[in-house]
Amino acid sequence: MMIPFKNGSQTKDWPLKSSLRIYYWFVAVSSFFPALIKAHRPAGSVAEAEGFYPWVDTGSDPVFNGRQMKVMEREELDITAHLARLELSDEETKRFEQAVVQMLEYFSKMREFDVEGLPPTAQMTQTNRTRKDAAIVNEDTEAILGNAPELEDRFIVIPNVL
Amino acid sequence: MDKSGQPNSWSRALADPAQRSSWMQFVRDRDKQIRAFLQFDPELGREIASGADCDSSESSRTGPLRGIPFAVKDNIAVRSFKLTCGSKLLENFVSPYTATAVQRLLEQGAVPVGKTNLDEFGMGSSTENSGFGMTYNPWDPARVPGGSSGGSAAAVAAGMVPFALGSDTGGSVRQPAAFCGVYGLKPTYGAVSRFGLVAYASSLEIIGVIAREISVIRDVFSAMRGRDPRDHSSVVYPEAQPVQGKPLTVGVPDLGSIPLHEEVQSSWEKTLDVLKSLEYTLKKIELPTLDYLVSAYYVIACAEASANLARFDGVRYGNRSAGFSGNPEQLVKWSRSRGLGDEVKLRILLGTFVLRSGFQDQYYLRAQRIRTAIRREFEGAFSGVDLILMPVYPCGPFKWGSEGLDPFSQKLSDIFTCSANMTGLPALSFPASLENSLPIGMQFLAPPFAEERLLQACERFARVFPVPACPLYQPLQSAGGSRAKGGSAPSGAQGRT
Repeated sequence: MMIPFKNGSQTKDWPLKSSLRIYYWFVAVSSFFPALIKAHRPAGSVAEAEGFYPWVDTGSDPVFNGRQMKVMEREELDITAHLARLELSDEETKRFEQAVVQMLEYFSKMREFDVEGLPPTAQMTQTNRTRKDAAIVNEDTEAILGNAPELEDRFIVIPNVL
Repeated sequence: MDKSGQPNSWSRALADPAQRSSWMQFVRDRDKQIRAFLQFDPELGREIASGADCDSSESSRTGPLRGIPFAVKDNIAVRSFKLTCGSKLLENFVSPYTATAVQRLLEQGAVPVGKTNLDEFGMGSSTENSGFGMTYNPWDPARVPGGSSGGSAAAVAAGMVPFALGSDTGGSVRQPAAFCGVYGLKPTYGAVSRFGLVAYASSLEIIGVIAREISVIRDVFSAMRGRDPRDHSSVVYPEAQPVQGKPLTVGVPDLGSIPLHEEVQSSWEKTLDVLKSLEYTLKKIELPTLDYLVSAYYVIACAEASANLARFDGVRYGNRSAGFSGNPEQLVKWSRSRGLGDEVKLRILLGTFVLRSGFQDQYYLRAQRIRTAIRREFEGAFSGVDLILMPVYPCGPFKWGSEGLDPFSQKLSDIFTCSANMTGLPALSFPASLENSLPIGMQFLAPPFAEERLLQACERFARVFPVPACPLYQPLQSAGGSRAKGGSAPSGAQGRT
């Protein structure tokens, strides 16, 4: 594995510098990540079961659902925050919980709309285009590396992976 | 094109060192009041422009944009300038490359002079969500300039630059232009390359232009547009079709179910009267999908944002704590949590949620199908009319802070602007009237690639209501004299640093 900047020194002794902390930890971490996410997720999540609108669809029994909602909001928000790699303080969680529920409540309006037979629009320019599979050399890798928060030679430093 | 205050006079004035430094002083003074710029560095811009001039074509020596200064919203890359996107996470990021749209302007001889303030990553309608402080409306500093391209609109309205680039994902060019009493063009999706525009919602957004003169919008748009190999969604721009001389038919949607504030209602009625007096044929149209537009829009925008903003992890660039100790995942969480603002986090959370397994069909897929219905509805509407008229925003420029609109109401208020993004259609907002000494904007929408029709309609409208000048506006020709003094300081913006 090499840092994808085409210039001089970066290839020289990467395999030897095994102690060097490279950002390619990312590949390693993400490969076993699904397992972590599954482990984190409560089995038989109410959100999964209730379908469209788990947090605010209180149904016919407000007391039961009210209690259920409270638990679920927090749990679902925590899972979502983790998936988005955001760390929320308690105070933030409270604030976002409110704002997220408000928006989801608003999104629920879409339920009224009959979408039967309508294909989805994913993009406006409808054709797929490819370009030639040819390398374009970036002349100014220094400007790119200059934005790295921490460098060692031409390597980007990150904390230890293991 | 050669009247005072118009582009060529800018070019001439800035060629003269004395006038040039007087203009720079004016911008710096004015910016203390309205805080439109995050970075103002005309010398750096000149270096970049002269670099691009090496292979200068005929047009860069003689074209209408030669020597014209312009400002760029800080989510569009200009090499060697910062590219903060209004985010603390990218506070020190210096762009290693230039956006195609900017590059094409450089090739025409235009000179970028600075980067303007915005709601973080373009998420907001007031420029209050910037990580670096807000921008003040040059009409009344107690009010917001709109957003997210608020800095660009304020800079143009105050006369600091003849035009500025913005990006429009759900109205972010048109709404601030309307709040500041200038013109704002959102081109057809794909007409201008997005290469170098920091992605927020890729299927909705486009680079647009804000100016006080329609002729400037026309020149800038024709320089920027066209296919770019670096943006696969960009398209070859069809040769402009001649616009028929006969008065056009304008579709007027029934806004019955959407409450307009008094000032916008009054402006709407005046606009309809003006159009009638200009011999336009007005035709009522029905757009029932408007009721579902905003919810579908926000599902799509947030979903795309959560994917696009995943790249900001503090690893290869972006702020990171010195001497961070922890594992790499904590580093990513730490950088994002401290670097991103509330509105951005909220949209990432919403987007991540609607894309989660089990929820996708109910939210994202449903929103995409509603989008198809919206597109078809507009296509149908354009079979009977040449243009569609709509308000830009349900209220005029609102006050900042707690006296203004809360974030949720701001989102709901995107109802008139985000239809153009959901359908990919071009739209141009124009100052329609002054209500209580504040500008109110309306917008025309047109079929794909009919930007020229929009420009001509606004030129026609300007015969009755020309672009208004805000109290902080000063035209360029006074640059040698009173301009450098900076005018009277508005109370609201003073003393804030």
